[in-house]
Amino acid sequence: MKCTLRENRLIFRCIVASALAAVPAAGVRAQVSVPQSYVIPPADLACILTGNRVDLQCLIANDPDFKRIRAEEAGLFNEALAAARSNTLDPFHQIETLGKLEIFDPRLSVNSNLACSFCHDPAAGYGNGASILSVFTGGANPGSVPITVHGAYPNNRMAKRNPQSYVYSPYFPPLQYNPTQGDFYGGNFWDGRATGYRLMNSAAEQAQDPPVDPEEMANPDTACVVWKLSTGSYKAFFEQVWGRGTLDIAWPGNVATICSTPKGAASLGGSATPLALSSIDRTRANQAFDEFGQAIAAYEISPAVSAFTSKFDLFLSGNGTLTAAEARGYDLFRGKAQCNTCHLDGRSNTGGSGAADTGAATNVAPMFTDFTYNNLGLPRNPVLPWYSENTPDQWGFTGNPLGIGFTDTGVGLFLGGYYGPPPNLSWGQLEPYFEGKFQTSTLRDTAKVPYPNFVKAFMHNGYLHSLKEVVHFYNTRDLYAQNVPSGQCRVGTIEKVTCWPRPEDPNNMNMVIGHLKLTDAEENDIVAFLGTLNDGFVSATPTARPAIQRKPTTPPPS
Amino acid sequence: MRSRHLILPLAAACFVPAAVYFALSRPPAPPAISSFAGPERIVEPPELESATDTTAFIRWTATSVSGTRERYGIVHYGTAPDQLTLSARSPTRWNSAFPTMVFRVHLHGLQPATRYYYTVESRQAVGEPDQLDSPVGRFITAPSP
Ligand code: HEC
Ligand code: HEC
Repeated sequence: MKCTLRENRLIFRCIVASALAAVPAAGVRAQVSVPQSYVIPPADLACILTGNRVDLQCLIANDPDFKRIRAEEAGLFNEALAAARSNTLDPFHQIETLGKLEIFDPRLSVNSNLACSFCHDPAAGYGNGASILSVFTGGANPGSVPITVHGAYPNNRMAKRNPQSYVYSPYFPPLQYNPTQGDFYGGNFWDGRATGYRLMNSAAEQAQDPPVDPEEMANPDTACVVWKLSTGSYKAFFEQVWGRGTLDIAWPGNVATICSTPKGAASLGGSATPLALSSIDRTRANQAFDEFGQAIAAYEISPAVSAFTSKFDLFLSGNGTLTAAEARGYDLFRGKAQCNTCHLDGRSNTGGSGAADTGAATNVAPMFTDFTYNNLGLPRNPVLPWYSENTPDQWGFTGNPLGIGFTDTGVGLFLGGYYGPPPNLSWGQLEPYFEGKFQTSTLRDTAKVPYPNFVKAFMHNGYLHSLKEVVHFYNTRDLYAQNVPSGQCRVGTIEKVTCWPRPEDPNNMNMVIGHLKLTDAEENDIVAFLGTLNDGFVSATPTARPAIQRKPTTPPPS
Repeated sequence: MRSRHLILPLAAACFVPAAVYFALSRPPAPPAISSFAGPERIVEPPELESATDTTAFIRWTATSVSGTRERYGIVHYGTAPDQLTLSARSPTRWNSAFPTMVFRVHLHGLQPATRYYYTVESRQAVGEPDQLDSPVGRFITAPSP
């Protein structure tokens, strides 16, 4: 076993490499499970390769979901630009609008071809918006950089996980360890690595990651994002929000060349700051990059993204009722199925015989998450192209040198040093207790789809393809557990129906779930309830309020 | 599949500096106050929920009135009743409205068609083990398929 990597990655690399022996070295050509209702769009047929792989360049050019997303993206960008130029926005709406411009701006990627919204489709609840990817890549999206090495799969750099919805993500507090509970609370990302420790805002710090993630927007230097802002269509608006001169930086002559070279390119020599800036300009660029992130968080927390307008919100306010199926589902959610152990619903639990539920909501704006991390025991999803990204691309960059030997240990990667040492070094020792754990998602907008037959990918690795599958997994994970990898369930059993392959990481697997003894009808009721968490049920504009009787003011003395 | 007792020695063999290895293997320091780890009582005794050739689930129910949200069920097991030298640990979360708490522990890496003996224990996420009086149970794994 070789452990020759840089110090900060040493622990993790050695551990994971030791798992290699146990994993079959054979290819990753997994079976894909195509939901019955799903028909591959005709435009995509030519993009499906043997072994259930997909030609990503072909999809980027032809897939109808991609076209829809790009059109919506351009519409929203132009809407924001018009608002910015209208000169009518109050300070509150200015920063929100700036965030909106940034989120829908493909120019901010190294090849000017990929906006945040490409992977976070508003119509899909700000998660992956391409059905074809849910089925064939676990929901993982292509980044800005195509791979042109002959015969390479995937033929585009791809992120390692299913894009996590960012609805309500600014409501997650900065990550902290609570010593009384022995637990982590808060943070952004499936593994909590956007801690928010520097800006005291997890979402703002999260927004600083995709622009320089080699698999995503791939800018070689954070200052390249600032350079693009300083040369773009809303430069003046950025300075209106953050102050005149914010973007006054003396750029080196080679700025255009460097900023069009993708992160990870061998020619950059491993430097994270290839743009040569004076120390004052570097500080200014860093500051503007912080402000870039803060504006994005402002948009994410705005009613456009995190609206509190679901049917359930109306129900909590005492002004709405649930259908019979939704109400049964809700009782199961906080009773027999125990979903609200982790996905807090703001109410007390009716499950125990001694429980007293007055029916009153203790919190009328619940997040449907307790902000903790858990290992649900999901199987490895072998269709993730990440497992194949183990050879250098034309830039000399290799996303995942471990290939199929990579184990996604979630918070374990973060605490174990995969991304460099955690910002709080004392957290490193907690790795054994958090290995395998992922962020408890908010369930708000999780049921949101752009159109009825859309296939959504759920969970960090997109292994599950419908809410029915999600609930069935929670219900029967342990009842139908088989010690096999995905694609190899025993004859007579059906994967995801009567067979659940072994967990990718068996350590710290949570045991509240796995054997809930729900009937098929009860599963369906829970699915119906989850639909009540979609925003947009109530109109988002402030409604008429009763007139307030004001005391007549005495007229000023004339 | 790897398991914890395998990983640590392997990590050490990879020349991880001793300090790092120590830090990695040491549980977090218990808090000064341990008084709320109240007396737990088993109300439904440990039993085998299900087993395959290499895995098993053991479950029991205990009164659970206080302590951390996350708790660990721990099963000490082995192939002879006086040699329970192996252990498996699974977290679960307490839902505060339930008067009792079901612990379930996932054992993996077992030998097919083998009889195992076990006792159980539970722990808070931090701090003292709960005081449990566990009988010795047993089960047999399924033959290889
Ligand atoms: C190539 C696809 C892609 C692009 C482009 C992208 N993301 Fe993401 N996003 C992801 C993936 C994948 C994850 C989950 C990654 C993880 O947890 O490691 C994610 C996670 C997030 C999260 C975490 C949500 C939470 O609740 O913790 C936020 C917020 C987010 N992205 C916002 C953005 C913003 C803002 C941008 C643009 C600056 C962006 N993303 C660009 C794929 C993408
Ligand atoms: C032990 C805590 C816990 C319990 C109990 C729990 N969940 Fe979750 N839930 C999580 C975590 C953690 C994730 C993200 C896991 C991952 O991606 O690896 C999640 C993810 C989800 C998602 C996917 C969200 C997305 O955007 O992909 C849905 C839907 C969901 N849970 C519904 C439920 C329902 C319904 C129940 C009850 C049957 C339930 N959960 C019980 C912790 C829990």
